[in-house]
Amino acid sequence: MNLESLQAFFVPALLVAFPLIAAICLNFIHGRDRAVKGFALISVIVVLLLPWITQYGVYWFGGHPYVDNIEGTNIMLSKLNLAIVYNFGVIQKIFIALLALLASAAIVIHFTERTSGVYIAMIMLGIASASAVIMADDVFNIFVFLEILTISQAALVIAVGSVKAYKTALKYLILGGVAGSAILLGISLLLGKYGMLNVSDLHNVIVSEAQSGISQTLIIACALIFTGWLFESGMVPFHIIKSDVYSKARPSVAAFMQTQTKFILVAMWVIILRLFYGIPTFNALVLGVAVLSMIFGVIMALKQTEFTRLLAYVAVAQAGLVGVGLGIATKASVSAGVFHAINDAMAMAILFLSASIVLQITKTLNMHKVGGLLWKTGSIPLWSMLGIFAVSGMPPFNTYQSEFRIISAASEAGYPELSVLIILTSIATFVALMKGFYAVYLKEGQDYLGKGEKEEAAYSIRIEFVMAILLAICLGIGLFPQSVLQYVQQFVISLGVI
Amino acid sequence: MSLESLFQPMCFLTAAALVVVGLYAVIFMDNLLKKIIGVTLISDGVNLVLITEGFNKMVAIISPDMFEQGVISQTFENLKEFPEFAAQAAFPLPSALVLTSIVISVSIFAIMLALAIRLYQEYGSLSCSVIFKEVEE
Repeated sequence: MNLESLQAFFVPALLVAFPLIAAICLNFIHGRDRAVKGFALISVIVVLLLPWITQYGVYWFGGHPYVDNIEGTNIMLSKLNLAIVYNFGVIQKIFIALLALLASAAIVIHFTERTSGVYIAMIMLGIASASAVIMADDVFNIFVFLEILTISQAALVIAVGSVKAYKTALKYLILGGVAGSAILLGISLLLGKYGMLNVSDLHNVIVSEAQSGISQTLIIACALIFTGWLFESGMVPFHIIKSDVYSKARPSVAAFMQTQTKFILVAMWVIILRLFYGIPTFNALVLGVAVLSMIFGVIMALKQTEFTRLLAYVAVAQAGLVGVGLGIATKASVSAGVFHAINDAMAMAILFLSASIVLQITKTLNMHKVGGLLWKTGSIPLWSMLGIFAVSGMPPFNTYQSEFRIISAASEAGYPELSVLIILTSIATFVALMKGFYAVYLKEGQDYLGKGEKEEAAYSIRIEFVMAILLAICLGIGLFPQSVLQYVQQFVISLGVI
Repeated sequence: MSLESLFQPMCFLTAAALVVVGLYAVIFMDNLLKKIIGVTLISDGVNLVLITEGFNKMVAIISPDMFEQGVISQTFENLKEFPEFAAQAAFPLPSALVLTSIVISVSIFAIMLALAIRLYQEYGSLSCSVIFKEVEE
């Protein structure tokens, strides 16, 4: 096998197919701890490598090429393209690589415990479904994988095993079922009107139709798919259930989940924008819900007494900030929004991983019960503090670069009040996170630390290692923003609708 | 008006009724099982919309009338040559989509029921006001 044929093997579909196959295999070997760990380790390595060796480009399979007629009959096939199309570029690569990194962290850091095959299978399903949504160019494929994503996220919450987790998962599934149906109804309206599902084809048809006015069917389809987008991205009014899911899942898994949510927010917005950008109120709607999510998220974060719940609401507020960048809908703001999605996913993951360490030591995340970990957890408080700086948008971290660009873009687009609001949100985010930091690390120690003042608490070094890697990436992007931003800008230009 | 021409509007009306009843159950019913059934009713209603669209008489995915307007002529121009075929043929794609959608709905339904059983074992009731009492407090 020569190098070219080997390269041709690594098509974008493999990014979806491999984690799916791994998930199926892990289900079969569930219960055999060593086999599960061995297979999970191999899967993690492959999943981490795949985005870097996959070929760029548009990959399609299924469907049929255009043919004149079917031999022996007078039936002619249309140009209708029923293929499943995956688009893989640099931005998709960054999204999927980051997802793979955080998913791998969520798997590997719990290797000291007995590992459930089904649990890892659900994380693999999460990677596969999020990757598919990020790359897919047809609306039905996106619907299918969004539903799989909802199931995998609910399953990861159920895996915690508490009654509260069951309740959260059930609520999430009920809302997910309704939101999924809304998306499917929107898709069926598009299918009924235009007879196709491929986003690029739909875009072309809708553009040509828009010259004679926007149809009501299109507006209703937009409203329905938009509702689904609100759920999947955890925007108002679904911010409570989303933060509930983050806070009930293991913190290491929550780090992965909030990354999924941010990337799906961007991926679905791109699809909706390409289909419905002709609808005049679309961008205003996105901006409205994004601002509300940002405000509600940070206000709710300020009043939380549970550490992961605080982080969950901060994650919602930051998703709102990404939405603000997208909703302003200028080239600069959208670039900044997508850039912020990448940056914030990493920065928030650092804090969720620190919560994982806190949970390991204290067995609780209630801020009234934890405390005194400053001198007991090595350099974790330092990483956590730097993580707080990163999430709050302080220089020299990457989120400073993206937040600054969103603020500038808002001012340039004629929304100076929005710039003020973003700055206030950043300050409130910092205050909320410092409240959490004080409760966990600075406040007087509690019973669980009664072994002696100088004794270090035991925690997973693997988590600290992943936190350090993420911090290094955050710092690297913060110092050299163009290394990522140039690809984001190219991606935004390639959309062709902004 | 023939029975055939009424078929598709009736299907759409039934689908709308399923969605409305499902939404009512999800929002207003206290019993957890009824809420879960509500979700499946909504899903069934949407599936019915999809499958009805495959029956081309009203939505006219590939009917001659629509591509005469030029709206989708770029995509379906080749079917112009066979308007009789286009007018009679059912669109097969929705059937394939509904099949996938049903599989997903069943998966979600199964997990929701499993969770409902687990919560019933814990609380001895399926009433949401009992199960989610702590959350409200």
